Amino acid sequence: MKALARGLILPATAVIGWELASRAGVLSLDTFSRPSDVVVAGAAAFVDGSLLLATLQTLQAAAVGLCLAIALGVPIGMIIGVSAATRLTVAPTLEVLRPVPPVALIPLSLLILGFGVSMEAAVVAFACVWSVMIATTAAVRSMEGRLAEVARALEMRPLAYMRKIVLPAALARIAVGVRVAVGIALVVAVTVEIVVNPRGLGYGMIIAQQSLRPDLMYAQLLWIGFVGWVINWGLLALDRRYLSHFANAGRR
Amino acid sequence: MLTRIILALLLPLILLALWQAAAGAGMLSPAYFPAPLQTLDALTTSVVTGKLWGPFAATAWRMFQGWFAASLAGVILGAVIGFSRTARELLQPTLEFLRPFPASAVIPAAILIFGLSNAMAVWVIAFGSIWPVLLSTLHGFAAIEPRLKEVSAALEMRPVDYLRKVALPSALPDIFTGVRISLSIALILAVVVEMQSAQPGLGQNILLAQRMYRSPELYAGIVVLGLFGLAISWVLERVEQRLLAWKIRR
Amino acid sequence: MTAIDIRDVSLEYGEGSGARLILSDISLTVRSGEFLSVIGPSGCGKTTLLRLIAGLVTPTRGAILCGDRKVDRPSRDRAIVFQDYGRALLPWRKIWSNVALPLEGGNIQGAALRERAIELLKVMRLEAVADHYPDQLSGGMQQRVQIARSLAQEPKIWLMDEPFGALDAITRQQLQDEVARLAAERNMTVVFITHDLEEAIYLGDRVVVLGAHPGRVVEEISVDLPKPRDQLTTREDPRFLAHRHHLFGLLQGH
Repeated sequence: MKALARGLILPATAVIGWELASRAGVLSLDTFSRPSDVVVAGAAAFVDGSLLLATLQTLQAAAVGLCLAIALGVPIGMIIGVSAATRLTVAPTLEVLRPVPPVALIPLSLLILGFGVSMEAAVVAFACVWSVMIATTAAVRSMEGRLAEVARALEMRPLAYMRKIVLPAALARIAVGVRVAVGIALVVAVTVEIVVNPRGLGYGMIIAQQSLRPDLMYAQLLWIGFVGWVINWGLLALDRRYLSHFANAGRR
Repeated sequence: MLTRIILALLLPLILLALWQAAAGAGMLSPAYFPAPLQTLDALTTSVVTGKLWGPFAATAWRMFQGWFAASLAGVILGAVIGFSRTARELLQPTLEFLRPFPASAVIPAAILIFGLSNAMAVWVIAFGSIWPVLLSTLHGFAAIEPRLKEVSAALEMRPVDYLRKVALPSALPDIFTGVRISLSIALILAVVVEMQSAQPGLGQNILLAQRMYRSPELYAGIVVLGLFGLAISWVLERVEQRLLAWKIRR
Repeated sequence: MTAIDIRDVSLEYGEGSGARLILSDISLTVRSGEFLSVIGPSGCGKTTLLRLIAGLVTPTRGAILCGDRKVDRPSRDRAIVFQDYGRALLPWRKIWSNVALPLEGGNIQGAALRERAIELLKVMRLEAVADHYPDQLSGGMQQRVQIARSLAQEPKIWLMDEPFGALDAITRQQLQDEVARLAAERNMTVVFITHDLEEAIYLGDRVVVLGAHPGRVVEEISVDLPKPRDQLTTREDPRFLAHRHHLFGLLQGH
C-alpha cells in the first residue's frame, strides 16, 4: 500500500501541476487541454460507446493478426527446428526478412488488401510471426534427444512424431513466444491505424487531433495506455500462474 | 561455407524466378505484384540518379538522433533507478504504465506540441526506443553479482571506481541488448513518423509510391528498408562481439 | 599482541517477534600471526562470523576490534577469500588484471602494474595463464587467482571462508600447504572457516568449535603440533588423531 502511494506521487503531481498551469494560463489549451476536460471527454466517449467500438476494432485486428502469426509461425518453426535441411535452405531467407521493419509493409498491405481489418491484420501478422517462430524453433531444438529416440524406437510416423512428441514438449516455450507477440500485436495495430487505416483507436486519435479536440485525443491516448497496461498485466499474471512453471518443467 | 551460401540462396532465387516468369506470362497483376526485374530496375534507377540518397540519409539521421538520445537518457535513468531505492519506488509504477505503451500513439500529441517538425519526429523516436535501454540497464545494474559488491567493499573502492570497474562492465551485456533492440525500434518509428506526418524520408517515399500506384518503386523502397535493417543488426552484432568478447566466448 | 578482539558479539536478523538470533555472545581473541580455524555444523553462523570480522556485517550487540580500531566497515588490511571463487572474480578481466585490481590507484602504474601482478601469479604458479579469462580455468586455479588477488592487497589479516570447500581432495591438500606456507612467510593472522574437521586441525594453531541455533562458542583447543606440517606425518601423529577424536565427538553431539 505504502509502495503504491509512493508510486502515485509522481503522476499525481504531474496531473495537478498540469491542471493548475493550464488554469493559470501558462499552458495553451489548444495544445495541452486540462486534465479535467480530458476526463470529461473520455467519459463522454466511453458513455456513447465510440471508445469501446474503436477498442474492439483495434483488438479484432490485433487478434486476427496474432492468430495468423501463430498459424504460420508454429508449423514453420517446428519444421525448421526438426529438419537440418530446412535450416540450411529456408532459415537464411527468413533471417534476411526478419529485420525488415514491419511498418514498411503498411503501404504494400494497403495496396494489395485495401483499407480494413485484413490489411491491418496482415501487418500485425508479419510483425508477430518472428517471435513465435523463433521461440518454436528454439523449443524444438532444445527438446531432449531421448524423446526423439523414444519416437524412433516406436517407429512413429513424422506427423505423429510432431503431434505426440514435439508439440507437447515445446508448448510451454512456444507460449512464451506468443506472450511476446501479444504485446507487439497491439502496438502494431495502433500504428497501422495511425498511419493509414481509418478504424480503431489509432484513427480515433488522429481524427481528434485534426478536428482540434485535444481533450478527446489525450483521453484516447490514456485509454490506449490503459488497454496496453491491462493486457500486459493479464499476461504477467498468466505467466506467473502457468508459464514460468511449465517453461522450467519443459526444459528439464 | 560456399555450399552453405549456395543452399541459402537457392530458395529466394527459385521464388524470384517463378515470380518473374508468372509476371512475364501475365498471371500476376503488375499493379500489385510487379516483376522482380522491374523492382530491381526501379532500385538501380534511384541509386544511379541519386534520388535514393536524400530520403535515405534523412531517415537514417532521424533514426540515429532519436536512438542516441534514447540510449543516453535510458542508460543514465536506468543506472539511477537501478542504484537508488527511492528513485525506484517513485518511478517504477509510472514506468510500468508507460512501458507497454504503443509509441506511435504519441504521434498525434507530439504533433500538437511540436508541430510537424523534425524535432517532433526525434521526440517520438526517442520516447518509443528508450524503454528497452532503460529496462535492460535497470536490470543490468540491479543484477550485479552481490559477491563483487563485497569484493569492492573489501578493497575500499571509491564509488566512482566501483561504477567504472565493476558496475558498468557487469551491466554492459544487458545495456547492449537494450541498445540493440532500441535501434530496430527507432528505425520502425522513423518510418512511421515519416508516413504519418509527411516528413521527408524513405517512409514517406514508399507511402507516396503506393498512392501513385508506382508499385516497383514501392517494392524497391521496402527492399532498401529491409537491407538497412539487416545492415544495422549486422553492424551491432559485430560491435557486440568485439566489446563483449569475454561474454560471448562462453 | 592481539590482532582481532571479538567482544560479546551477538547478531540478530529481523526485528521484534520475528527476530532470529544468528550468533549469541561470541567472545574470541586472535593473536597476531596466529592461524585460527573455525569449525561447526552448517547453520552455526561461522560464515557470518567471518563477515562480521570483515566488516561486511555489523553486530547487533558487542564490538569487534582490530588492533585498536573498531570494525565498522571493510578495510584493505583484511583480505577476504570467498568460497565461491567463480563469483568473486571479475569475468570480464583477464587473470593478471583480476590480480591487479587491488593494486590500481596505488603508486604502481602501467606496465609495472602488470609485472607486479605476474609476480604474484608466480607465487601461486599461475603465470602461464595470466592472459586467460577466469572461466577458462579449473576451480582450483580460479581459487588460486583469488588468493593471489588477496595477496596483492598486502593484508595483515587473511579471512578465508571455506576456501577449499568446492575443490577435489588433491587440489585441496596442495592449496592447504600453500596457504600455510604463505601465512607463515608473511606473518599474517588468519581466520579460516571450514566444515572439514581434519583441515581445521591440520592448518590451525587453534581450533574454535561453534554450535548451532544460535551460533555460539562450544570449545576452543590449542593444536600442539609442530610446524611446518606435513600431509602424511602430521595427519598420522597421535596428537592429531587425539584432537580429531575429541572434536569429532563434540561435533556429533550437536
